[in-house]
Amino acid sequence: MDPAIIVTTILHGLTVAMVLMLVAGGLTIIFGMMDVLNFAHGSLYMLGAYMGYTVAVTTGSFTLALLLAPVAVGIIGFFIEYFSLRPLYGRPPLHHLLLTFGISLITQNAIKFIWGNDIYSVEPPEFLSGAVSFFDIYYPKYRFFVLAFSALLALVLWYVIAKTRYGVVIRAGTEDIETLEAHGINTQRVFTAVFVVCSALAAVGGAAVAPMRTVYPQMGLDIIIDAFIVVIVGGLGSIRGAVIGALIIGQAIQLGAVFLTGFGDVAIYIVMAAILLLRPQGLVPETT
Amino acid sequence: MLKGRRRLYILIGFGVLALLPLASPKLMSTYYLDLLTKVLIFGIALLGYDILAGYTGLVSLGHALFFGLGGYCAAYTINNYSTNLAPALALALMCALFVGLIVGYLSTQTKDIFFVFLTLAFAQFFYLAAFNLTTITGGDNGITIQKVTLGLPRIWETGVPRPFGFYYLTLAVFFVAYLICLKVITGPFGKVLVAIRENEERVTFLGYNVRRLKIKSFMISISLTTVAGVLFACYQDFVSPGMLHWILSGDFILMSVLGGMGTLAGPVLGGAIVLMLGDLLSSLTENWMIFIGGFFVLTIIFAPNGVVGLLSGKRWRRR
Repeated sequence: MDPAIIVTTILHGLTVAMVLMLVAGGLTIIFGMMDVLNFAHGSLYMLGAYMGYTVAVTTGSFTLALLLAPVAVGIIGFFIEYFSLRPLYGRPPLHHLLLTFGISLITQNAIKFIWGNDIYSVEPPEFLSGAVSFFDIYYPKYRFFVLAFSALLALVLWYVIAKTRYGVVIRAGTEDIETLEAHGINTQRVFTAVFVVCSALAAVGGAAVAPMRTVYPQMGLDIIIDAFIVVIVGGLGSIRGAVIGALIIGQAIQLGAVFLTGFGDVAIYIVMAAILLLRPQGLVPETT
Repeated sequence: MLKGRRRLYILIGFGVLALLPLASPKLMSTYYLDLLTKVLIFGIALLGYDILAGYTGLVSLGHALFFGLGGYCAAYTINNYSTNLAPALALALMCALFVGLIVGYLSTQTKDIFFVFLTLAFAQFFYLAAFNLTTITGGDNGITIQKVTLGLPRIWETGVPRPFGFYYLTLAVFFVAYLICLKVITGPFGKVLVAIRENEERVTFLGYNVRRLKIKSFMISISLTTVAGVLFACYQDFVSPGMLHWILSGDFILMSVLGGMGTLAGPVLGGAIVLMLGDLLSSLTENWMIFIGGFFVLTIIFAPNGVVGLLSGKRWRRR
């Protein structure tokens, strides 16, 4: 096979992985801290894309869309956490999965109600349209931007978690929430903050991929399953696992699409089933 | 098996269901009878689902696999061999038991959320296969099925008149399914399943082979879901990959939780609520799931034991 195709495929896989990481990273942090598997995370990503689209169309500025969409979704995330998740802390994780499943139904249908069933395309900013070429490969500039932008966000996230005081609280929270509370931290407030930030991250992901993948009513469902698979493969609650999982699943999606024509989508399920059967707790069992 | 009042209630319940179409032709127009038939078909699937999710505590996101598998098997036998329902059911059950044994064996290695996603993975294999193997399954267009018949093949066969005939056929199957479930859950086997749900470790200490019991529960559960799938496909005269999609598995969970998992009446009631409410609301707006979603969220927060739990006054207790 043409090496150019393989390189392009792997680059695509990397781009997909970076976006998945924004969504799955939030998922895994939320799970690690609050034992909540947030089914609505895909809807928040989708909401980010739709809001980004609206901002981009009304103001004509994509940069503004990339900034405003996460703020708006962060606020929605606050309401979701405050009014529906809070009363449920301490119940079995399954209750949260079901609750957020309900929330995702509401959000998905609300989006369809507001924006309709149409597919929208978003124009990337002028300086990011077109393609770069190196060796024999043409690669869209915008995809490089998504790759770099998401990687940068992931790095910032890593820095916050690994090096700052907030990070210490988050890591402590994923280890043992009661001890954290005993140290005088208001864990309720930490939960809210974490949920809001993770919602915003998902929204950035959604807004950023909009020019690449268009904005469509199924996008929330598409991403949530992929992101869940990433988190399950990586090990629930493990941040490092989410990164590894995203890289594996990103490649599986793209390589599957190229080498298993017509059955590309099966690849990720094969990877997930295999990993779950060999290592039922995921690749990096729950430690941060 | 059952004594006194409860048996009386059950008999009254089925009596009402049996007499309903005859009582008032205006009330039970074709339209409502059609809805009620669907409610009963989903009821059969949900009874099966409840054995696994409600009683054994293993929430599966892959039951659409067996609903759809039943449908596709029925389509295959009816279109290629005989329009009779019996061989369609037999083949569907054989296939489902074979697939179910593999999926059940592998999935029960894990539990909780991992079980949820492993069953999802297996179901998605089949969904994608049905979607992509266009030469066999017709892909997204699905397969149209000939009208199903009852009776002895080649000797005496009769079509199933709709809506009345199919309603009573479904009701009969539902009745049998209900009795099977009742037998299962009131017997010692059912008690062990509940014990597994409540405290798996202790059941292991008592010397039970928990894994084998889980697989057994899985097999009973999927058999009923498969039968429902066969009936649904025959009733619609049509199968499509949508019958295998995880959204349908999600609907099973939604219906069960709304009605109240771990009771036989609950999930059936939940199914009835979702289907009827959906029917009512879909005339108002295309995005009626927004209301179901809201209803569902409120249920989880305020009445995690569902409608039945609410009615019987049992509130969720913190473990």
